[in-house]
Amino acid sequence: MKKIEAVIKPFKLDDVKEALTELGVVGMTVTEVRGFGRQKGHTELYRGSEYTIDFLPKVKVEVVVSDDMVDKVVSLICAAAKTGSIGDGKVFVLPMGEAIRIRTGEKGGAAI
Amino acid sequence: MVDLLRAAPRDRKALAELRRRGFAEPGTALANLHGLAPSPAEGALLEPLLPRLLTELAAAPDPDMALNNLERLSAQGDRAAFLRTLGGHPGAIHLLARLGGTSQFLADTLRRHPQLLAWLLEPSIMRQWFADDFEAELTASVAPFTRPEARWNALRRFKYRQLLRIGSRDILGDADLTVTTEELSRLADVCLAAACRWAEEALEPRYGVPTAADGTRSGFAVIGMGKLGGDELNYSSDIDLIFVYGDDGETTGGSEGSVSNGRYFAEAAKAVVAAVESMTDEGYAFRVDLRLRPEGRSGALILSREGYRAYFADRAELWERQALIKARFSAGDGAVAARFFELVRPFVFRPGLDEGIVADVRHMKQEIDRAQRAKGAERRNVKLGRGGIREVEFLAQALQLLYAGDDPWLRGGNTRRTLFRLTERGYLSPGLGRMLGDSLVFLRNVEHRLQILHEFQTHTLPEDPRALGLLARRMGIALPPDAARRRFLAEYRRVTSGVHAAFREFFEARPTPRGVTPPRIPTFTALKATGFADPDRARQNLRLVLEGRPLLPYPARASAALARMLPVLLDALWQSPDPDEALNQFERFVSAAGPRTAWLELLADQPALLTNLVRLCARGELVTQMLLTQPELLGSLADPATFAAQKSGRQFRAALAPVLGPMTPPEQKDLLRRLKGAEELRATWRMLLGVTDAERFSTELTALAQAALATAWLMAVEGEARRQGVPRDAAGRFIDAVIVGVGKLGGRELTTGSDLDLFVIFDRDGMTDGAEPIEAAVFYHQAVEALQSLLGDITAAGIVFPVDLRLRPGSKGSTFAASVDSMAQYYREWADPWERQTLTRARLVAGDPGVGRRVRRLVTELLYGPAATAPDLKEIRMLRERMEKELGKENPGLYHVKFGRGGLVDVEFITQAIQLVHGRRHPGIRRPNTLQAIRAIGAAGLLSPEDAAALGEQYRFLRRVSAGLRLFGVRPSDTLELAGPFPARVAKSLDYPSRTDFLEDYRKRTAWVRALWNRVVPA
Repeated sequence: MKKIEAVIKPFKLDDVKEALTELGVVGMTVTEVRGFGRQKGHTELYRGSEYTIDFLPKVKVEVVVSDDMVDKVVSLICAAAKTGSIGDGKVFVLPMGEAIRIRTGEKGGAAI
Repeated sequence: MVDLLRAAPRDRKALAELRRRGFAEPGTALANLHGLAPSPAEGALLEPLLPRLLTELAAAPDPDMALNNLERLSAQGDRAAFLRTLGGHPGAIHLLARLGGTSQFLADTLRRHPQLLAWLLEPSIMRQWFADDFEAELTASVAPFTRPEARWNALRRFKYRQLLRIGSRDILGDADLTVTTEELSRLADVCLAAACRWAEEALEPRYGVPTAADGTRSGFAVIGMGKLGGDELNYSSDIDLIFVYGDDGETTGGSEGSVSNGRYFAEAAKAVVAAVESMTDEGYAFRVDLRLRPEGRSGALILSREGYRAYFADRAELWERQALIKARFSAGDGAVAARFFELVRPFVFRPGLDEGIVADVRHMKQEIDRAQRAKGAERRNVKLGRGGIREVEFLAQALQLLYAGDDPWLRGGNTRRTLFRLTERGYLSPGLGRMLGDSLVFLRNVEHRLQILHEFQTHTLPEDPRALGLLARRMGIALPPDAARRRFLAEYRRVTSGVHAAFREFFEARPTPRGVTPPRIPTFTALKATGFADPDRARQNLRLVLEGRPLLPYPARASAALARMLPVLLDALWQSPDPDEALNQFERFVSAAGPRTAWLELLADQPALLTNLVRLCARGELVTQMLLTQPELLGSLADPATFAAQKSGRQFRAALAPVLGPMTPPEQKDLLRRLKGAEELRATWRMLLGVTDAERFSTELTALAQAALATAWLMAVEGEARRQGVPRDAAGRFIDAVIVGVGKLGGRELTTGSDLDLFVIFDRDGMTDGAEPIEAAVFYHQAVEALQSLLGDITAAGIVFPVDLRLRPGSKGSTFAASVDSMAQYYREWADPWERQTLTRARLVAGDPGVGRRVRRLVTELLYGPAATAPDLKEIRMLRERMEKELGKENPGLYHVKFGRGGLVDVEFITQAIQLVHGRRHPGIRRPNTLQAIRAIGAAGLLSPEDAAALGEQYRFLRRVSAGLRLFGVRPSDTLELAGPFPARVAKSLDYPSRTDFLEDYRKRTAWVRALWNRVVPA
């Protein structure tokens, strides 16, 4: 069991959501976040006004999947979230200690 | 100021303050403001933004709607994050106030997809997108999906995202109507293209490949009609489509056996319509209208080419011809579409004048009028009403049906472009052409602004005074609603009366000219005897010269002058090498000059002048074109000697110098255009008279372009320095810049109508020393924008040169100027091999020599540091193949002199490939000019002396053909349509005995070039 965290461009959220649904992933947690990677610090020109790139709005998608699904899910997220330009985001894969469904107390694979 | 955020809901002062700021319902506005920041923490974020926010809302067409939409959007997610975005991004408040205050449907779209806000605030997103941009993003967006519904959803999300982007740029004023409707049309094209691919992917496994009788694969195409065909799509337009497939036959068979091609493609067409039209969780992409197909609603969804042929042959009516004017290939198999249009063309555009058209079109419009009167919407309907869009369209289409049979340049579906071309060719007087063009833009803007509110397909002005006032504000009239409404209505009446008067005049019977009896036109036999190849056409032209065209009756003095000059004219035509073409062009000249009686009197009084003019007319339309924009030059044609001497760069700079005198910027712009136009006409004339050859003409034109660049660059940099101060580095030294020419400018190979490919490099980073310092990069970015406008804007005096910045170092979204260091970094780390290849023609054309030396060293190192390897050559070959396929688009009936097999680009790529491989060890061949490079390559022994000589010879030949086509005004440039009149005319101007001899030579030479290409850059 692994937890996959993807920090992506907000406008790609619906594509990623639909792609995960197609794969049979049923649950996910979505959070609006702000952050920066390598884009930070430089100035951009938006319709003639200059501004400094600081924190950028991103969306964090978290899903927990069984080990055999990890590769498929990661590559699908990458495909759905990619635009090819800077700021496309990151995917992190984390080991998962335990998962418990609160209502029933089920554990492990049965809980996700 | 009243503390709005802490005011009670009915606080009188607060409500009065909001009313003063333009809110019609201050109570709701106050509640909405409170709703934006319900908690103290959010209030603290909103407070500092409030003054700017209220100012922006007040400037929105509908402040109440804008604030309401803003509040609803803020409720979609984390309010604090939303408020931080408003405060942190310079464009956010402005964008949301305008968008939410102009279009409810776009505001709703954004509310449903709030995560698109961040996307709209990315600088690289908010620019014009072209077909390949759309294509790339759609492909990436649907790539993860295979199930049809999932793909449809992704397609719809893509469409709504793009709609928001296009709508935002429209509302912010970053894109004008032409760009907006073009982008919407491209958007529809790429969605349809994806739908076509999916249809074939799904059908092939079931039925196999549809094949023609000869066993080749048969395809199908989507033809865009109506607004889609004219690149005039609105937000709420249905898309008018017809479908065509190539050949009848059977499919090769699949899991469900084999079916007829007809059935296969009917399913394909159905699948395409379903893919864009079906309602899914994400809505629909486009509504499709298929009623323009043969037999309308009751007809088959798709026909083969043969089916259309049969239909056109006996059943189609005038309105169908008229509708087909706007037909355009939209998606699917381009070759099938090309063959379909071969069939459509002669059906729609017939040679010769058919004046019955005018009566038929008038009749159609009367039918529409009757229907409108019945609905009582005559005045208020922008599209169909009196003086509305339809009258402009009918006028343009009637002229197309009349004249486009003989003049292919007039064919095309975009009404505004058509009006422009009709004026350019003299079928509309300049004043009338401009009036109709401006009116069309105004009316379409009204239509657009009516529909942008709710995405309803409405064409009727609202009766409610407040709604009409808000429409006026959406049109950009920055006044309170009542005053805006009055101004708008006055303008609307002025425009529609103007259009309707022109429409009535055109479609009414033409009055016979009074006072002057037109002289007799020579007979068919007489004209044949004096050397006209097409005496019928000549008689028609002479009649037009003497009597005028429909819509352009002559003043009596002009008719008298024309009658007087007829004998001299006939004599001059008879002596001309190509009487037919000379008369064609002369007719054009006269009809455009029509209102300017003084010219005609000048010609009638000076036989020598008339004779010279006719001589030049025989050489194609270019000279007439130039004379039409530069009437004051006509007099100097009487004395060719004044034009004879070739000019140097210094002389050109001196000739353009008056521009730098004291005058207003618009005067400066016009003067620069007039001075350059005069010099270009003289240079062209020197070539036509044989004083210079094509190569020296290019050298001269390049020198002229460089002089114009130097002058305009000086003006641009000075203008920026006045506003922003001078850019300086940390040590206080001035940061200089240089203009690098690439493409034809770099190679000194400019010809008539060439763009200037260039980019600007400045020395190093720094800031300006003005009151509000800006970065050197921004300073030069703005200077380049100013340069582009100084040279490239089309004013009443024409254009200097179009400036093309696409070959600059950096991607599409990047700024227009780069420092030497960032240029180096770009080419080393990110540039594709083809971008490096473009540098083979880099040459410093203006600016500071010191920076120039650094740039030159860098270019040499980038190009000739490591020699090109086999994979590099493979890339070059792939690029060449793509250009040939996508830009050349040759077929057995059409050659492309530039991009086609063995064309100019083959020669250039051969040269550049050799330069990139051997330039490191042979510095002599590093030359931006293709012919000089070829000679050097021969001298260095990298090609055999025979091959080098022959390659140079083929290049010169291709350039002559290309120049000839440009002189004849062939569009698109560099295309040679075998069925048209141009092969014969080029043959004649290049002194070939016949059309066949020329074409044979052309095939032989291009085959030789292609063989050499295959040897130098093997597959």
